[in-house]
Amino acid sequence: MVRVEGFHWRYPSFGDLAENPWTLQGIDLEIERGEFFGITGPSGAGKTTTCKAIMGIIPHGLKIPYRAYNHHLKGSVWVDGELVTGLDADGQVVDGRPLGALLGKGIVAPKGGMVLQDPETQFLRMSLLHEIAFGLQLLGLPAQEIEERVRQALAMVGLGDLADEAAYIHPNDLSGGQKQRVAIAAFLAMRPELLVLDEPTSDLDPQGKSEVIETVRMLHERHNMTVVLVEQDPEILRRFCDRIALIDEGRVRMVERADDFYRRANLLSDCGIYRFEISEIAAGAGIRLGDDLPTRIEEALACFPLNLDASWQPQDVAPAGEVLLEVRDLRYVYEDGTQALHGVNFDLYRGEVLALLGANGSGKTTVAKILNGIYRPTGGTVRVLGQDISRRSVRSQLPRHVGYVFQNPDHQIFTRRVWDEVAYGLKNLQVPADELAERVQQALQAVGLSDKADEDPLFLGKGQRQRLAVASILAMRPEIIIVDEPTTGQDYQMVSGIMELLEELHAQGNTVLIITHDMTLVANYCQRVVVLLDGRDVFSGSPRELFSQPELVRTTRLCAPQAISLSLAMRERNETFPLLLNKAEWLHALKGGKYAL
Amino acid sequence: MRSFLFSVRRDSPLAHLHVLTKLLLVLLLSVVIVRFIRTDNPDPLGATMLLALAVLLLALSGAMRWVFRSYLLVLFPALLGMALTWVIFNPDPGSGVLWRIPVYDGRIALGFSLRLGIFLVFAIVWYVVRKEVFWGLVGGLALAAIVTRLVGNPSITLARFDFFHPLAIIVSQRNLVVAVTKAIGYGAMIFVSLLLVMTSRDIEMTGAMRQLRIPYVAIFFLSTMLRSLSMALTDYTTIRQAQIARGVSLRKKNSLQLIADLAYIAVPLTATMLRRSNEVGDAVLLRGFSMQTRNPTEFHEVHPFGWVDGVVLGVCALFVILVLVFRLNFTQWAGVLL
Repeated sequence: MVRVEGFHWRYPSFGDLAENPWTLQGIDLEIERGEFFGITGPSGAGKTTTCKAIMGIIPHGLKIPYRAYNHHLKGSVWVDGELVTGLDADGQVVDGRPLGALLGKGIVAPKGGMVLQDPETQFLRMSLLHEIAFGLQLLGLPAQEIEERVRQALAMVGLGDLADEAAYIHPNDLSGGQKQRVAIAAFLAMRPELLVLDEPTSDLDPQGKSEVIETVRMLHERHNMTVVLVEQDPEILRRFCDRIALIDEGRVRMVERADDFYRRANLLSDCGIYRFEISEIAAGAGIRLGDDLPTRIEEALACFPLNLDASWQPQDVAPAGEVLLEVRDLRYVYEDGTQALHGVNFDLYRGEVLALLGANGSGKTTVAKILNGIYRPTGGTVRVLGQDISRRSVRSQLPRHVGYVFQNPDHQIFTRRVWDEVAYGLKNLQVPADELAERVQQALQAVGLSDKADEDPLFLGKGQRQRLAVASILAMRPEIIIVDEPTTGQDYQMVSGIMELLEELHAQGNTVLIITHDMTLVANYCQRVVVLLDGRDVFSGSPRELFSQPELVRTTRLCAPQAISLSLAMRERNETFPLLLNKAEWLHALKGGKYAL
Repeated sequence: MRSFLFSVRRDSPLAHLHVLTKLLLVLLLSVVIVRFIRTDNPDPLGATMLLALAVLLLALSGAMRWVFRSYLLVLFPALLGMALTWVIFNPDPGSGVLWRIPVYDGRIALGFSLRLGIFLVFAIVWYVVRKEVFWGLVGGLALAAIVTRLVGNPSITLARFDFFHPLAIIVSQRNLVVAVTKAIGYGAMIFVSLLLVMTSRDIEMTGAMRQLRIPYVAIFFLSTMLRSLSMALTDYTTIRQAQIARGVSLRKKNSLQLIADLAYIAVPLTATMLRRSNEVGDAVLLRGFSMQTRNPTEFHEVHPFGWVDGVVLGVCALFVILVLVFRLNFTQWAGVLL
């Protein structure tokens, strides 16, 4: 269905900027008709660029300076036997020099569709009905057929009950999972033979993620559609894909069947790709399943020892010390009448790392914005450092005590120099100049950006921008730091960097509240967890207590990490088996206490 | 359901009107309002009736909440300021003067006075200590008034010369009526315009443009712009919240500092919009749109003109004729003499 041969691509640079390097350096791929094909790789590896090349957006949707194609493009892309992009290197001779002539049919719509990472950005119309109908209108289909196809597409993605009201529903008013399903439906209505999904679920809660991909798999099976899925999550890739390609530095490093892909531990590790926790534990403890590392719980059950030294049982430390934050029966109603919080209760103790969990729309970010003084609570009591924030005078001063790192670093970079960016908040706090310089330096050092102090933040990588956002809050030295979805849409190396940073912050005695969908992060770094469901707290306790209750995990749309799931499976066979929460605890237990926790 | 930037009730009377009817309604009523607020023959009752009609329609559309949120806080002080300005700068005595306050005797005196000294010293000291202008001026004036009332206002005049002519604030029945009529009239004009902005959807606009046979590329451009506008507003809200989280509202600031704070928003807003525009561009191409797209299928966009549109436009036209041609003045018609 898709054939990419030796495809090279270099993005055009504008103005006086230096020439860009080649983003793709000879991509070779063959995807069969009806295949569910996965692509993974670190950020900046060229995954999205490859997808755009398959769809023909690259190069047909871009302007090439002076039409010098030879300078930007090599190789070819074929879809369904038709040349999408090719190059006649000797064509278009100007002043005796060939600039290259572009060949191929161009953008593959409607034969192919591509769902982007952020559904809101790709919505082009302001009603659900017209959003899905738009491509069909462009195809010039009769109105009656458009009507039928819209209804079918909505039904296919499980949103058939919205069909009658579709003309009055704004796509942005839907939940995160529904938005992404609408984005898929918009292409399904065009009955594509090829559907490319570029990290379509990175903003979704764990179960929402599975539901969206499950929808795609069902469509793939029923209609023999070819699906290309770009994803970081190994569980999703293995569960849904027939084959997976690893792209790194603009090249395809390997293409393997899904089961075999994650056994290539060394290559995955070299490229900084997510691996299964079980594989990492087995590799750390020297456990093998035949010649391979286990990747599934069933495989681990066959090769992990069932009897461990029972004298060591992991213990959770009960929260103690000064209560910095006290939330009681917190309620909040948005201006449009939506009740986001129906009564939330929890405490935050000095020096702890607390995770605030819950499905999309459960009220986590609303709580964070109340704690930072952005929203005023509608009801209930919130005390920060003993002071009631219902008083305006207290609320207006909250940014001094509660720092809030927003999810998207692009929303919080206000200056064109890294140093100025960290100093921005301090100037608002009216910190004296000498102290300001010292604090900026310390904060940049803490996040490893000291050498970037004079650079333009907008030209930093996403991981570095995220670190800069943390530094900007860190410099203000708040008693509590709230970090909203710090790992969303980031690759393994970036997530590892953020995790290390959080660990350092905790070691330095900072109190951190993390909002996240990343359960591994919770199991590794958080002492306590508060889970919200539909605007109410339904659980408060340690991650071990949470993940050992599968029914609670399911009803709150969370997902237990592999490490503790394996412990639970072991306990079914041996009741005395310790409840091991994460990789560190497993290695500690497997190595007889010789692994540092 | 959502309109361009706000939300509106699906079953509201205006939801049944064609967007061009709404546009004509706004234009015709605005012409009538211009007639109602004429200085030589004001019609406060007519202006009030139109204001009430606009408010009623907005309320029936479920849009009053947005009006209150977005406009009323600005609108009332602006209209009040306009009425006061009219009274001050239009000293028309009419048939009877209610108050006459001399403010300038037609001569300029150069010199010093205790009042001036107190005012200047207070304002300067306030600025040095608090870095604020407004309250320095207000406090200076108040202190100067109190002190000179108690101890008199000794002064030294160095020179005196004639300039312009004497000025007085004259509050007469006539200029009061004109000022109030103008304030109500402009208020009505704004509310009538809001009817269009608050109750129309992008689909109505694109449908109307298709009826007018405007090239589809232009229609799509406008539709995408409207869509992007709501996205930009969402981004602005988030960025502003991020700015608050960085302590931007921790202390009181003067107007210049507030403007500087807003200017800082330009960096993330521009970066976000650039990123979004790239993605929107890709999304457009992926659906198969191109500059060669000519005439896509019409699908629930075009809203035909109905009898309701005819009736509304007919009544409106009749109203315009009565007011402009037959010089109908509701205030006089009701027997109120100005």
